Formats: sequence, C-alpha cells, structure tokens
Amino acid sequence: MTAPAVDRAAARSGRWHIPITVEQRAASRFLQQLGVNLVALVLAFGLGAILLLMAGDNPFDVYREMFDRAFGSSRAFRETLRSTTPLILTGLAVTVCFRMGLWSIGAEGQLIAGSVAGAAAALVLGPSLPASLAVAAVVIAAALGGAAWATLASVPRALFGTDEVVTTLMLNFVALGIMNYLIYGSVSYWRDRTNLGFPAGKVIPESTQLDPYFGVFDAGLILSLALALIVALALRRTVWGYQLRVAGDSRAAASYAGISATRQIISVFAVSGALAGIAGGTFVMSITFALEPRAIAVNLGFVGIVVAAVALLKPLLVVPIAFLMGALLSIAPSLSIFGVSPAVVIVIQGIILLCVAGAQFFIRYRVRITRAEVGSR
Amino acid sequence: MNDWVLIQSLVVAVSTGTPVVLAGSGAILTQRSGVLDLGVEGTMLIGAVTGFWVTTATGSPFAGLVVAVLAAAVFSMIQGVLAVSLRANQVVVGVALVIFGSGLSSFIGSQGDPPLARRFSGAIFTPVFPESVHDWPAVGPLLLSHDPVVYMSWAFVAVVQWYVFRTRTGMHLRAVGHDPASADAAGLRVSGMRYLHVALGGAAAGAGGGYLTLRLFSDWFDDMTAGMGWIAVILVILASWRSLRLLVAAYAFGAISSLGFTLQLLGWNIPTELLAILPFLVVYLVMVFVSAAERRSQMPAALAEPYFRESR
Repeated sequence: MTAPAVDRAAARSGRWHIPITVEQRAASRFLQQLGVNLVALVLAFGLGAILLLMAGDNPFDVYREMFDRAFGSSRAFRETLRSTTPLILTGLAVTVCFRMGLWSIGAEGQLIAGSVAGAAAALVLGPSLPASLAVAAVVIAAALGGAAWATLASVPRALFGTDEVVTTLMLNFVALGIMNYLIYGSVSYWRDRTNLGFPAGKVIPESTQLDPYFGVFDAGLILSLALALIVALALRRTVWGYQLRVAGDSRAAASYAGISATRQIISVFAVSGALAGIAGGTFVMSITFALEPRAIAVNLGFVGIVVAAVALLKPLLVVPIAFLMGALLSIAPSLSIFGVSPAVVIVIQGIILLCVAGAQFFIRYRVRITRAEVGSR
Repeated sequence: MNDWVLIQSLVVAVSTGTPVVLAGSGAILTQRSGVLDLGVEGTMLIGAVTGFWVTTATGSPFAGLVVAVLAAAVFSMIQGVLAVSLRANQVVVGVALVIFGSGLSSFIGSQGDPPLARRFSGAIFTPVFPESVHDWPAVGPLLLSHDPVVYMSWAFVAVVQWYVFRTRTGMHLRAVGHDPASADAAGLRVSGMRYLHVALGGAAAGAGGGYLTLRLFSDWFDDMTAGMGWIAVILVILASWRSLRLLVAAYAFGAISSLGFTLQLLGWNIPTELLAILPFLVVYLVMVFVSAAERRSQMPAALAEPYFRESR
C-alpha cells in the first residue's frame, strides 16, 4: 500500500518541477533582518496605496497629508511623540513575552488594568501628595495593576499549561468590560458624578497631569525610553535575561539547565504586564486625564505586537518603530477631515504586520532559482 | 422560570450561537489540517461587510451570503500563503489578519454614498416555515422557527463530523494535521490539503460573519463581531476538534451571551456592561479548569507548526 503511494508522489514531483530551491540559512545577519523588515514596511505602504487608489483617493496626496500631520509642525510632532509613549511600552511588553516564546496577546487588557489602577491612584493620592510623588505613585499602581492582570494568565500557564493565547485574549475582553462597567454601567469612584450628560471619567488632579518639558518630552516618554534601555540591559546582561533567552530558544535546554519554568513564566508575564500597565498609567496622565474607555481602548496593546514584530523583538529597536507607528496612530482621527476613512491606518498596520510576518521567511531561508535538469528530482 | 421564557431564551441562544457554529466548524477543518487560523475574527468581519454590501445592492440575502463566503475564502488565502508557504508564525499572522480584517471591513463600510455603515438593508433572511407552525408546542419554536442559515449550519456540522471521521479524505486531513512528514511520505499533498482547508475554514467564517449582517443585527457597524471570532477559535479547542461538541459549546455561548434577554424577560435588570463580560469570563474559567483536569490532549499534533520538507 505504501510503496505505490511513494511512487505516485515521486511521479508528481517530476511533473511539477518548480525551478526554485529553498534552503535554510545557517545564521542571518542583523542588518539583513532589518533590511528585510524595512522592505516589508515599504511594501505595506505600497499595498495601502493600491487600496486608496481603488477607493478613488490619490495615494500620494493622502500620504503627503499624513506625513504633514505627523511631522509637519511642532504641534504635530508633539502629538506623534505622545502616541509613541504607550507604543514603546506595549512594544516592550510584547517583546519580553515573545522572546521567551510566550505568545501573550494580553497587552491590551493589561494596559486597561494599568489605566484603571493608575487612575485610581491619581484620584486618591493626587490631591494630597506633591506632584512628583503622585506621578510615581500612579506609575507604580499602574505597573502593579498590569502585572496582576497578567498573573491571571501566567499562573494557569505555569501550573496547568493553559494556553496563554486563549487566556490573554479572553482577559482582554474581560478587562475592557470591567472598564466600560466602571464608567458606563455604574456610578463608580472613577466616574465623574457632577457630569449629568454622557457618562465620563472623573478628571485626575492637576498634580498628576503630565506637561511636556521643553515642549516635547513629557515624563512618560522619558520613562518609556529609560525602560527600553533597562529591558535591553536586563535581557542582555542579567541572569534573568539570559535564562529567558535560553528558554526562548529551547524549552528543553532550559529545563535541562535547571531553569524553573514555573517561576520564569510568572516573572516574565509580570514584567510584561507591568510594562503594559505603565503604558495605561502614562496614557491616562498625559492624554486622557481620566478613565475614558473610548479613548483608552484603541488597540494600543495589539499595535504593540506590530511594533515588537517589526523591531525584531529587540528592545532598543522598539523605540524608533514605536515612533513610526505612533505617527500613524496620531493622524488617524484627522484623516476623516479630508475625506479618507481613518480605518486606512488600521489597514496599513495590519498589512505591515502581515508583510513582516511573511518576510521572516526570507530571513530564515534562502530562495534560489535553479536550472531545471530534465528528469532529475 | 416558566416554559415560555425558557423556550424563547433557547431560540435566541440558537440564533446568537449560529455565527460561532459556522465559524467554529470551519475552524475545525482548518485546525485539523495543522494550521491554527487565529484570524477568524477578521475573516468574519470581511464576510459581514461584503455580504451586507451585496445585499443592499441586490436586495437578496442569499446573494449576500454567497459573496460573504467567497470573499472570506479569498481573504483567508492570506493565511494560507503566510502560514503554509512562507511558514510564518501563526499567532502573529492571526493577530495581523484580525487587525487587517477589522481595518479593511471598516474601510469598505465607509465607502459609498451614503456609506454602508449608515444604510439599512431591509432584506434579511426570514424563517423557512410559515408562521403557523412556529406555535406548535416546543418543536415549533425550537426546530421550525429558524431561518435557512440555521438549518445550513446544522447540515454543515453534520457534514464536517462525517467528513473528518468517516471519509478517506477526512482521514488524510487528520494525518496531515497530525504528522505531516509521514503524510508526505505516504504521498499526500500536505500544502495542498492545508490550503484547501484554510479556504474552507475561511468560507465558513464568512458565512458566520454574513449571518451577523443578514439576520442577527440586519445592518453593518464597525467591529460588530465583538470577539465572536476569537470565541469560535477557542471553542474549537474546548470541543476537542469535534463539530457536534462545538455545536453544543456554541449554543452554550449563545445562551450566555443572550442572558440579558432572558433576565429581561424575567424582569431582572443587570447592567449590560457586566453581562458583556460573562461569555469571555466563562470561556477563560472553563479553559483553565479543562487544562487543569486534562490528561491527554486531542489536539492535532502538528497544529500551528509549519511543515518544511527539507527539515524533517
């Protein structure tokens, strides 16, 4: 039974001989990887242009307008930087987990948990503490909130092997639902009780609202840059980072080396959750100034996956990529003014991630066109 | 709880669960072939918006459903190319497809004058059997009051069950998802099987999305799937990749999602925001308990693993 089947397969491959061979690369250079990803980025904008053409818009005009609105004025540049901060942090959160081969897509929910905890700290402690202490308290509360939310996924993963893709996803929706409930479904501590119109979050005290220094950098951005550096150093120079990279390359090797998977999974998730949580806390302090579900739940966690993937899971590369994605994100609302659907930005983000995911093939494999030799296989 | 409330709740659970039945049964085929398509949420949105578009243009929900199925199958080929041919990370591709599908469907929905998102189609699927039989005790509302898509979804579940376990191709499908190297050695076309079943899964997700605009909500709005696609993928795991179990799980999801409706009939008032959390919380808890109690997974052994002939 088996033998003829093999023959059939052989006959088939003879008939359909494609003059391309695919070889696994032994190792790939960093610049080569970066180059492939940059090509993927350009390709994504090219595909986006085709979509714009099909919708009857002139892609050059749209892209020029987008560029102007992201970088054209100091105000535009400031908006771009403000959108960069949360993306650096969610990008780092995703990087830490993905580097270990933990496919957490929970940054979204952890960011929301961080926003809720951070806003609570701002509302409770803001009035009584000096500004710098109050801001620090919000950051710490947000980090704890995000880390706690991540623990709901990491503990089942570590103890029972519960798939983290599933749990983090479900927890995203639960977190979103809780935040909606706090503002729209109940008269909670976070809700502005003096506002009788559409339900809104209570504005945080001025001491916790971040002002940009030198008109550009606010404390959130500086903190996120520092955290990118810390994560890069932690991955490269600490035992924790070393063990994480070993486990990311091979679980089996890590377990032979006596690295405790349980402790590692929980600690990596906690760090990742804390980073995403801080993204939520700083977002509340520098952009929304209140727990505003509609402004907070804008897929920053998911875009963090795009950032991390394009940045090749390198913490320092996360910063420029987050800046690029932040530019895209900050112009989305203004697109509708000149008649283009803001959804274009989401489409381009999706295409970028698809292109980058596909481009990894050309990093891992070498594709060569070979001359077909008749009769050979 | 009186019988009338119970029966009405079950009827609503069936229609709420139907998109998940369709998308989930399709996802069983995809995952059985060894490809984990996490992009179902995005694929459903593509089906929903294209189906709505064609129905507003033609006035025929059937034409809309056909286009929803075809568009979604084409859309899912992105998954096919990336996951099968380019061996990309399937988690990343899935998330990318959800972002892309969400953006693209919203973009399509913003086209036209007035835009699709502000149109009301009017043409939706209606019950197959005449009103008079709907009042037959129990059987009437539960079995005879549905629209054609619900009956198609039942047929689809039965066909998937039969195909996977009772046909030769179904056996090949399971082989490809379980041990692609051996399947390849035995002469099966691993990539071809995977492409085909990614397309079938996409088509079914498109039908599920189409059901949202052509029956359940009867109009289009951004991100209207609201997590249904993710739920479908996860229920496949809970149902151990078996479509009959998936049917039960999907209706349980439908019942939990429409709990607000039931409670309203009973005169209770619980904030919708809290009820909206419930299905996701339940799935999370069930997943944790199932994995804690599980002895042996029924998962296709090569799920989410790209196959590369040269590296076996």
